[in-house]
Amino acid sequence: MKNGPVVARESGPFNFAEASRNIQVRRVLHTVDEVTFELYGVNAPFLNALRRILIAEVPSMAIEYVTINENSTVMNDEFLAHRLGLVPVLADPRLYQFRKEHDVPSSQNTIRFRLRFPSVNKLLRQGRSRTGEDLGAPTAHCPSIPVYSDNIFWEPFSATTNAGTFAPVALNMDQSHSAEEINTCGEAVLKDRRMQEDASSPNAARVQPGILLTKVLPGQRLDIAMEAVKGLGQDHAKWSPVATAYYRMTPKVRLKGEVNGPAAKALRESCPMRVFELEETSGVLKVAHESRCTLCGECTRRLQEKIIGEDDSHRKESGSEDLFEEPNCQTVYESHHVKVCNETKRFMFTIESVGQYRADVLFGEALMILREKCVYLLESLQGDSESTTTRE
Amino acid sequence: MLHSDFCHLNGLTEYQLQNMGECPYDQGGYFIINGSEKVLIAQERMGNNAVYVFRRASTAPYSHVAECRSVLDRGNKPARTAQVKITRGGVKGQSGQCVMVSLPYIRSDIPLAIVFRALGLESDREMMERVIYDPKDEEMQTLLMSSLDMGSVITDQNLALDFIGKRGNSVGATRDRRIRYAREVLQLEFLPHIGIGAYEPAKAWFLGYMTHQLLATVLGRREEDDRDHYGLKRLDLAGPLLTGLFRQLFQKVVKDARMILQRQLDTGKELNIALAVKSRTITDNLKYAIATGNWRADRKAAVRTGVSQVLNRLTYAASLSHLRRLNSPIGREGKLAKPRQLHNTQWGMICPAETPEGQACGLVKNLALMAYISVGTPVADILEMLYNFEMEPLYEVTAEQITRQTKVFLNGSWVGIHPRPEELVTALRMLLSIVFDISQGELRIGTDAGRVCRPLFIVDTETSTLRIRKQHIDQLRDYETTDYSFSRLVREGLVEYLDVNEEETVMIAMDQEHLATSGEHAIYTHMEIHPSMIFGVCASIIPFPDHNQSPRNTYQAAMGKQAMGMYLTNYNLRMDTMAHVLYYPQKPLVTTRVMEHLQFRTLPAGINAVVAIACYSGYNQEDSLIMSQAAVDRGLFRSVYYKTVKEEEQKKLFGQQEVINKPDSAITIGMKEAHAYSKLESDGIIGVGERVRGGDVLVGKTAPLGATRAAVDAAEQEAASGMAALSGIRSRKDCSLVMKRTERGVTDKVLVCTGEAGTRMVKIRIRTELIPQVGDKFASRHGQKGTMGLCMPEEDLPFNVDGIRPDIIMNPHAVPSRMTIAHLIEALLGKVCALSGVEGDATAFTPVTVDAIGRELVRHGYDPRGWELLFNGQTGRPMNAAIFMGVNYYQRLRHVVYQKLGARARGAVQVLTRQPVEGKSRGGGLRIGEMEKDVFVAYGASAVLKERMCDVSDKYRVHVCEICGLIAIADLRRATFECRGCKNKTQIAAVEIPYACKLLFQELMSMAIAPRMILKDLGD
Repeated sequence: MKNGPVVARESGPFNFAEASRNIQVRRVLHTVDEVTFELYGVNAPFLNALRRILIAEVPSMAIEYVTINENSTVMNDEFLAHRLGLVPVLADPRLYQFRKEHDVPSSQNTIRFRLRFPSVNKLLRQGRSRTGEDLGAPTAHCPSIPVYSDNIFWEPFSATTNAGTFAPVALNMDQSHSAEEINTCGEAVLKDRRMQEDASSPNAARVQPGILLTKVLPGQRLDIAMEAVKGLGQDHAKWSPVATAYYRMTPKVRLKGEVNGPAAKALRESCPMRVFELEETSGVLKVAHESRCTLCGECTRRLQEKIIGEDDSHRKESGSEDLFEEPNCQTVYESHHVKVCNETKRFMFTIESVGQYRADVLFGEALMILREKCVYLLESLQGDSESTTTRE
Repeated sequence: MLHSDFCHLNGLTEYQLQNMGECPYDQGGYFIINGSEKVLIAQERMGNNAVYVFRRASTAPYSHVAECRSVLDRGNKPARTAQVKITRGGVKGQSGQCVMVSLPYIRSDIPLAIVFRALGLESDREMMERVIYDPKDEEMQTLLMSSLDMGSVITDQNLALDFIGKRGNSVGATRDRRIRYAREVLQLEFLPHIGIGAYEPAKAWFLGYMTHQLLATVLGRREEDDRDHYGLKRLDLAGPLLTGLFRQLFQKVVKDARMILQRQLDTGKELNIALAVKSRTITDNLKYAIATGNWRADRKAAVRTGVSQVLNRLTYAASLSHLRRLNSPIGREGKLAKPRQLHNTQWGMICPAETPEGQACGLVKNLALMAYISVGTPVADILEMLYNFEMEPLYEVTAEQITRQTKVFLNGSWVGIHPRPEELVTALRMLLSIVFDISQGELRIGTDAGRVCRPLFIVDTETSTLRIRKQHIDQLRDYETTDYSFSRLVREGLVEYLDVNEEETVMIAMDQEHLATSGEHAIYTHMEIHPSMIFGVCASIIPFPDHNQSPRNTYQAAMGKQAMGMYLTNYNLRMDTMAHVLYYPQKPLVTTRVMEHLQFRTLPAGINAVVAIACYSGYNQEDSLIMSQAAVDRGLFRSVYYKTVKEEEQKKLFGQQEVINKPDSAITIGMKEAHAYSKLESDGIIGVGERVRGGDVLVGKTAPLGATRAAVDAAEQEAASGMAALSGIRSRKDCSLVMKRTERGVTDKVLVCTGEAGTRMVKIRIRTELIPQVGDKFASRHGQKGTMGLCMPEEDLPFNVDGIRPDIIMNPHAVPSRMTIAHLIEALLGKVCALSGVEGDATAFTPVTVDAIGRELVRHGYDPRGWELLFNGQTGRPMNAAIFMGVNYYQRLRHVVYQKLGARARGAVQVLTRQPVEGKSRGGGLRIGEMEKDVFVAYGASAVLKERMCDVSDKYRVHVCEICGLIAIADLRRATFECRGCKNKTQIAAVEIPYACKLLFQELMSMAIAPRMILKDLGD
């Protein structure tokens, strides 16, 4: 363990009162898809619980049942089905229920989609029969035609079968298509005028556009019906609402005394993230971009070779005693000149959403699930204690 | 042969090939026989006509032997080996070592002098001149003296011929016939490559030369010849192999025709040539040879097996490599190490890494990338040219000339002498392989087929620079407009193909740096094109092979052939018996420059995976891997497996015709359960897109029962039910094609066609999606294979400060003992490539350093050594050690558990022992073997042991007479038991023993041994 990072465990049991008093949140980056914030006053296991819930336990909608009516492309059915399953369904999962094994598909638990290629309109426009038999095989060297997820259209449960049921509401997002946009490309469902109205309504469930599904040649056809259901990331990654969710401890980089001359230069050069800079006038090394540090420890290793005659005795084997006496800090790497620490209670938390939820909403969802879990655990414990007391 | 000059596909454009349903990347070079692709493996052999001198073991009577495998280059004469030997000590009163000659058809060795005399040499002096070219060479003269003395008794040619004739097969013949016989042996069978007929003077010269070489070796003036020198080896490719076979078959046709015509003549019938010439002989036998790989013309000759093999279609690189494979047919069991070892002369010709492990190690080889096998040039043309260059033919050579002039050898055989060899060398250098050995006074020219050659840059010796210039490279680069090609470089004298022998006479610089030092230590005449060209197809895919322990490269070369990828672009149209296609193959981030030419970027066989090398949870111990469940969910290493099964309406004996149809249970016997046939369509063939499981019938087929069988069956039925009239006679037998019981899938393609004999044939391709699961095998490109030990949930995986989680976690213990440094360098370079979006160059012998890669990593904000601080995904805390994480190209190997799983509760048993059968395909059991048994014994679990060995295996009940202990007669239906010997009907016990035990007892009894079971009541 001489060359590895020194990582100590944070001490003491979790104190709710203290924690709630101390928790501070600062937003760093906030877009629809991604949110990064600084969190102070919690510990790593707690944040990890949230991270794990985000990845595996926040439900979302994804295509699960695929009925392939026609597929004359080179891509086989299973392959295509797998690709369709991974397309993010842009519908608010909170508006749906889980569909259990024997549940009847309904607008409460299922979103129906349809992919037809070439689209019905296109076939009509070309004045060819809907069976497409006379489309024929390609006669000349022709490029393949890409089929994007834009061709997947919502097929609502018809009004007659699900009269009066609520319409699922898609999340209103910045890059969402306007009604006209959908109209221009949404020629799929012609057979029912009403349906088309539904499809163009702002309530329509959609699928992330712009994803290449397969490529076809003229004459090859696709007709696929899909059902998206609610699920959890722990069952399949397609239900995971986050591309990734992670955190890092806030790094602290401290110089031990004044460093200048060649040592300063070498240190500055050693850092892959350019944490250090030289002061213009004096040429003294300073820590300029502390937050960039990735805790690689390169700055502590690079100069070690040059300190001859010194052994590792100055290195910290644990984070308990601290040269600078900073609270909640553990030294990860240390050398003659530099000390790299982790602030154990300050984190940068990043959530990258896939698209079903807004990134900031996801964090709240995760917290809710964690709370539910806690409540469940508490109830179970209390239930147990009650039963024991009654026995007494 | 596909893509040959006679192939339909020859010279077609990419688009034309695509329209024909062919893959434009297919290289051809194989044959299609009976619908399967057959490669003719190049066969290695020793070159003909050259003289080799070998030392014999110290126990042999001869100390040295000069050999010459003499073959006439035209006609169909078999090879004759002439041997000139020298004894260890004196023989028959001679004090010195004696030279003996072994002649074909002659039983014993003949003294050299007698052979010389038989060839027409009069005096000892003449003989001396044939052997020793320098009259002042007293040492050699002394050595030869005793040999010449041996011939002193035989004073003239006829005596000599008679001496030889007596030792031939002419027992009891007259002297004249003996002499004629001996002369014929010398003229027709001895050294046939010199000539067949009155070529005695030339043969005498050649025999003299053989003796000279022998004596020179004995005197230590030249080294013993090296059997494994690659310059002595010739490779027979498809052309020479087929030529040889055709030649033999043609002779057979002629012979047969002659025989039939002779018979027609003898019987006085009208001559019918059309009947005599059997047109099918050649076609059928060629087909047979290519289809089976048994390379022989007639069934009597010795078989050469494995010449033709089914082309490996698992990966594109595997196919390419298969087409460049060599086989040395020398003794497989022979534990001789030398022929298996890598020889210096194989540099640049044969891949040093790609060879199988085990039995065929070093005997099966692969050509290096630029190696080329020469196509022969007719000897007559070359000879004529040599004569035009004032070469003196061998039969006109006189003793005076030979001392001063240079001997000229063509393809190993001595053809003449030349006074000014330098002129010859300069004139011929660029045309053919030419070796001028000044010390020996020999000029050796090679023009025969099967020499391994390789191209080299020619260095201008005056300026010590390459003849090739930038302008040539530029022209070559845009070959489409300039029409410049590699063969033009050869024609213009910028690049030259050298064979192994000629290569030894030139000075080759390794690179430009070397070349710059030309003149300091050596003057270079050639330069390597690139040192990485020493590798073959499979080894060229390995990144940084020069940083690996060499066996690891060998392992990878073998493993690359098992990887899944895209083996051809037209796989959707092909009906391969077995094929794997990866869903998302990626071109590797870390490449070699050769990959472009091997199409590895276009048809890849692997995926760039983020690999962390760490101990994490322990599920990657002993070469297993932890893989990310999320990555697998998202399509990592998913693949399809295609399997094609075939069914044909065969014609059985007595004109019984099988029919493909939906079997009718009313008239068919031996049918499976009704639902097995439910997926068949009305024509008896399963439809496309049908989900199939084990036991489903794919093609329904019935055969008529023989007339007798039908009658027996009808009678049986009548007896059983008495309703024969109602049910009708069952006249057909079910012989449908059924899906293997452990397999599942979807029918992907159905092909109905006509077989060779006009029979209806159905091929059905079944597609199965293979999702990676625990137990599947994966490997990086460094001989680091492992099985998946755990599919770890995404949230449990460690993550770095950027939220990146590894796809694969490999165990660090896999690295130190195997010394696959290149694996680590690849990871590092892969990381740089992933960050910067460029391809990394990992070609062998290029000066890429780890430091340089590290510097590049730092530029992208990463640790230069690839270490990263990871957070434990389960605890959320940072891990105690920095973890090495990078991007490696991983391959998924065929060997998937899905195809290997097999278990049973009960099932088929063997007929003899009634123990469960073995093997997955038969639905067999899993054996508790010797060592497994020991576990139960050691644990003391006797009940388990008894259960496994008896109850669950072959339990059997026998009834034993309590008096004699032998097995008694038991009539269970009437419940009567009897031991006739003891007249005992009451004291009989039922005993449970294994059936195998009962069998043993009965076998012993058949040998008059009475095994008695003495029973004792144990009570309760």
